[in-house]
Amino acid sequence: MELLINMSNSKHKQMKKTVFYAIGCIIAFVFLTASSTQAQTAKPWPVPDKYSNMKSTVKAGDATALTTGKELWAKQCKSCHGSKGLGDGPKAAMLKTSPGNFSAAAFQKQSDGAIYYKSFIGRDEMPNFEKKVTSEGDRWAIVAFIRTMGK
Amino acid sequence: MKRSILGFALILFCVGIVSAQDPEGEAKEKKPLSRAPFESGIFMDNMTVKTQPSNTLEFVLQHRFGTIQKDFEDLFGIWGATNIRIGVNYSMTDNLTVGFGTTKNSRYQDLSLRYTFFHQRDGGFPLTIGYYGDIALNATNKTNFGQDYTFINRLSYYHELMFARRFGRIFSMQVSCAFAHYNKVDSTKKNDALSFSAIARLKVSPQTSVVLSYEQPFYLGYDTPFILKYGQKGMYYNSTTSKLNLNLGVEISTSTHVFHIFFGAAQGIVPQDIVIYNKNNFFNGEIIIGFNMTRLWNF
Repeated sequence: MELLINMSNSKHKQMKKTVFYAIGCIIAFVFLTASSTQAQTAKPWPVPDKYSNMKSTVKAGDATALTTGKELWAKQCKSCHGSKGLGDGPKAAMLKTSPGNFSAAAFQKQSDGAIYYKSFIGRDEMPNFEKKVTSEGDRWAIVAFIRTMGK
Repeated sequence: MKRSILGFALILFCVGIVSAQDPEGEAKEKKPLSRAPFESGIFMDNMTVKTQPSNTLEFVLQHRFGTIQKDFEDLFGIWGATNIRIGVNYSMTDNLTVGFGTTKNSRYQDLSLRYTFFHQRDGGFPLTIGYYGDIALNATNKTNFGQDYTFINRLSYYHELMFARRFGRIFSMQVSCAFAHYNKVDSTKKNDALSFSAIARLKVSPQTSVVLSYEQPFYLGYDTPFILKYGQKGMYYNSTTSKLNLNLGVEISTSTHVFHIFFGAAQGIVPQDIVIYNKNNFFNGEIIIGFNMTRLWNF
């Protein structure tokens, strides 16, 4: 009987220990992810020269391209970036990284090529979209539509 | 079987002719590709020319409820006998997709292949032309195959040649011709059938479209199986033939998903099953509700 009590006591202790470790792990995880979020917002995003020097194939004021861009934006980008590019889409809250505000001057002062690189090559939580938007014309149409968000 | 081989040879021959006129090498080929006419290779009960980019995995769920005829007794078929298929397709190249799926009714295990020969180009080649073929194995108990059972009785085949075009930003259409063959069928059915189908999609918003499809099967052989003497050999449509299939529904597509929810006639999902065995007559109210879901992963 004593042996049994001893056994159950040691089991109880072990369980307590496990729970303690589990809580410790969760707290550590929360802190780590929180700090990584802070680190990511400030993380620089260098654009290779090959991309930053790229020129858009869409002519200024091309209404057809803007319609195409808007349509593709609604399908591919809106769920995170929001309908106006403010980074307030329904999926944005689930991301660790802020999707950014595309109407801001700081965003709009980037070259077309830089926006192209960040939009279609991506990194981390921003997925690669080369296989979702396969045509070059469609990609530049999306860039052209993103340009309208600064106005 | 002989006819099946002949049919397959005919399709390969057609494909050969088209390939011989391959415009890939010509200068006008530089024209940019048009946007794909459809979002997925699956379109309600039909197939499309759409192949996903290379190294893409597509997971497919297809579900068909029972007929809506019993109204609230089985909630328009939703509580009735259903048919379900779960499948995966993998794009080996931008033009070639292979797939596998398993279906509840008749326990079909199917292997499929889809290939796009030509793509529509803006100001260039006007059509997207593709082939879809599959081989399905009926995995039900062997007593269902009658006497003289052999393994090949379980197999059936389907070949389809598809011609699609995107007409501008919001409207796409496809017409196709298909050949289906069962190695063994019920006595009232025929081993071989041809089918002609047309599908159309009208976009009403960037993600939502109204979708419509029509498929007309014809049996090949003698039109009256029991009076061979007077029967005429050829292509025919009568009371024993599989019924035509009509689908009307809505398509919702996102970056990685396509959803179809629709009214249709056929409860079968594997295409040869629809062409040879569809017993539901849409115009007699034998209508079912169906839905498809696809999910893409790019590698």
